[in-house]
Amino acid sequence: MMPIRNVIMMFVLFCFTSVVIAEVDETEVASKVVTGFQAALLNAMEQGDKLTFEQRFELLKPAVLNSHDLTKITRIVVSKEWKKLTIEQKKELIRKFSTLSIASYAHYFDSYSGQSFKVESTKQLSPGQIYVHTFLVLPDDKDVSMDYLLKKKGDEWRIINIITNGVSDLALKRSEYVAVLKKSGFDVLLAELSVKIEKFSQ
Amino acid sequence: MIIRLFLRFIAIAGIFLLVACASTGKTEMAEEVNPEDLHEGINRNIYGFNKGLDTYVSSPLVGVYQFILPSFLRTSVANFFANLKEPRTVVNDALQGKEQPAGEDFERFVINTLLGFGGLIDVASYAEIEYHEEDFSQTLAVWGVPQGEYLVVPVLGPTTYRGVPGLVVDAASSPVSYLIWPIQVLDLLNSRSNADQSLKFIDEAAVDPYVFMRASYLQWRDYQITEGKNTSEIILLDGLDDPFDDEDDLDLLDDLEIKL
Repeated sequence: MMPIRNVIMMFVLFCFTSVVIAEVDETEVASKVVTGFQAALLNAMEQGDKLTFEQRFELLKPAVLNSHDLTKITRIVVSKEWKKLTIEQKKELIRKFSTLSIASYAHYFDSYSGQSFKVESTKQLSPGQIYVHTFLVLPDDKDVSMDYLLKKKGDEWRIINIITNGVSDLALKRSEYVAVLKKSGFDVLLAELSVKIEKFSQ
Repeated sequence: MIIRLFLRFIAIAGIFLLVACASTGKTEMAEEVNPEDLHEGINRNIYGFNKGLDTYVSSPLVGVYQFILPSFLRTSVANFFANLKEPRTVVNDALQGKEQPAGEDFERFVINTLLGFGGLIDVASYAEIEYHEEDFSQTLAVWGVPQGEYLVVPVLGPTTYRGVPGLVVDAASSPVSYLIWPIQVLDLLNSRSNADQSLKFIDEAAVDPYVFMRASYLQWRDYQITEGKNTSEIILLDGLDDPFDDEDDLDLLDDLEIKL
């Protein structure tokens, strides 16, 4: 008969490995969200010459919507101002911000000249937050560091922040949007976002 | 000497802007002071001045420069001036105690100067010797000098209290400052031409270009100073666990149609 001490040790070992395996699985799942999104970007770039801006927008739309938590991102970029908005204003802001996010990807990722992405490392920062460190590899230039922060939304991992060469997209947008909201109000911010979408589509 | 004229111009522009800001002092006083940018009022004025100068002077000149010089010659010019900055980089590497980068940067300078026709061809990059960017402002940061407030300097653009002595020391230690004026003009055109894409990006993407410039400049400098080690900290923004959890179940995006 197995001594009780061995049974306890085996149980502890089982629990420990289960936790480690679960953590590894979680980082792998989160990493796949990022690599899936980057594959969609490369696909849009490779088809750059053949597609119009509108076609690239439609191509990237599901990839962005399924990999980013745009509702949460919108709430964070307007910070405390969010609470002052009506439900209709919140919906309009999320819609406009989401359109702008997809439009900016469609605008900037429009041609291919040998670029690729590589995942360097993944790390669980805290329960519900995973950090994926990647590089955009440019054939004739220094690699560009691109880091993703993913948070759990239900059972899925979603991107909520991207840091490019040390510049946080979320922090940048929050500084800008809060400044515009405080200085000029909601309607001006919305109008500015529309102008940007229009510029990207030209 | 063109640098002397340039500095005189900056001083005059600075005085002009200070006077302009002083005349609107009452309005500034009435406005709420931004703790992240204590000099926002005057900074915004100088930013506006720099933007106008760029639109009406620098940008057209750079347009001519890019029209006259084919791409491969512009690359050679950029390589030449980047190579002239390498001794400064080596010195700052050493001052920061970075032995390996100091060796690599010295190697880059020797190889590019001897084998790359005085730096016109970046042979060292073909040999995969890594390029680093170091300046005296980064050295001051490594030595523990606090960043201080954000500033926008006439003509030169964004910096901080710590960046001002850095700019002076870097200008004084740059070999370009002691060359004939046409080379100094070429250096200015090359610098502005290299910044073309970034400035275009700000124009296209920024909702408030002044705030965009400030936030991105401060983060990017921090990234340079910490050699990228700040990334895993700044990715966790304050307020990331926002106080809106009551609405977590309400996904407002679900019933929204996203279209152009």
